[in-house]
Amino acid sequence: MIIQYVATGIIAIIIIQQIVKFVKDRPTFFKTLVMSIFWSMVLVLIWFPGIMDWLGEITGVGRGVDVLIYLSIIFLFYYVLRQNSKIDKLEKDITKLVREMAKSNAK
Amino acid sequence: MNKSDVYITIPMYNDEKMITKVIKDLNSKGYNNVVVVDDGSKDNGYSVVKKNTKAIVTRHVVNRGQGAALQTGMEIAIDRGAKYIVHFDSDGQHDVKDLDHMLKTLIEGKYDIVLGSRFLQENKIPLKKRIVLKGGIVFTYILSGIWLTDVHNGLRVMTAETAKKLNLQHDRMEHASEILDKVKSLNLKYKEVPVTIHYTDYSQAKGQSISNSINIAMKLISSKLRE
Repeated sequence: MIIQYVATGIIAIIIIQQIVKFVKDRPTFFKTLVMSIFWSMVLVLIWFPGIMDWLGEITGVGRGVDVLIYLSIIFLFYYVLRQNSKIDKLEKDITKLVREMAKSNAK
Repeated sequence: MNKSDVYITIPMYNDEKMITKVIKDLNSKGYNNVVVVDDGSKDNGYSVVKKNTKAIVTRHVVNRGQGAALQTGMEIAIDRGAKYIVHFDSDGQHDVKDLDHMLKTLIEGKYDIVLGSRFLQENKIPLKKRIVLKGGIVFTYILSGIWLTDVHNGLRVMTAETAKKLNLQHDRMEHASEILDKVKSLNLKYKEVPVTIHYTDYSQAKGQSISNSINIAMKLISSKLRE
């Protein structure tokens, strides 16, 4: 199927980008590794969609695509929570800064 | 009681029209230590206070909310040696006449904090406002286990020690519930006293809407869940 080739091309570019970024900007090795494994897994699933169906069967969800959708929702939910707590921390830091400025300018 | 030990903290947001009168009223009753925190107002409140009054004034460069402004005001007051701290609104809805008996109650009753209540005496409260406030009372009881007659009254009097303990973390309107929550959890000795509230068209327009009350409630529940 054409979609498999297109997706492979896009993922290949992403993985190459990860490696280039690792060489250039030196982010943590762990992060690069996790991202590369994640995208490689996506690649495997694209070429062997049967794996998803097998997962669907053993988890009792049924269709393989449904497993993917459920996993995506869980991941997105976790991501939103993490972003929220990051924003909360930022807000607190801004208040701290604004307060220190206000205190030193009180006349 | 020496009134020079009392510091009045006023968080101010877009109140240039009322603030001078509020401060002058306080001064006329002998309360000369007034700390005004302009919370990033869009009007000229800051300059108005600076030009027309002797109050200590400062400014949040960006708006951080009433809770944040109160906390800033309290820290300034504590740094300057306050023994007693008063929370007072900038829109003219509180009555300076209530301060004397609130402070007297605090000191003579050896309370940690004295809270103003508009429901303990006859006050003309619009029906919509009444419903929201009564809902807030039940909500606060469920969340914090403290039953009061008025939970979002901005007029409070406390000792400097209490102010230090409160250390407000909620920047926005949730601070009012946070204070009550801490009164309960820190086991502070408190008392509610009747106060007068002047509902004018001006203060009404600035008041909290019902949708905002729901917003406040949601934020409080989520912060409780994370504790």
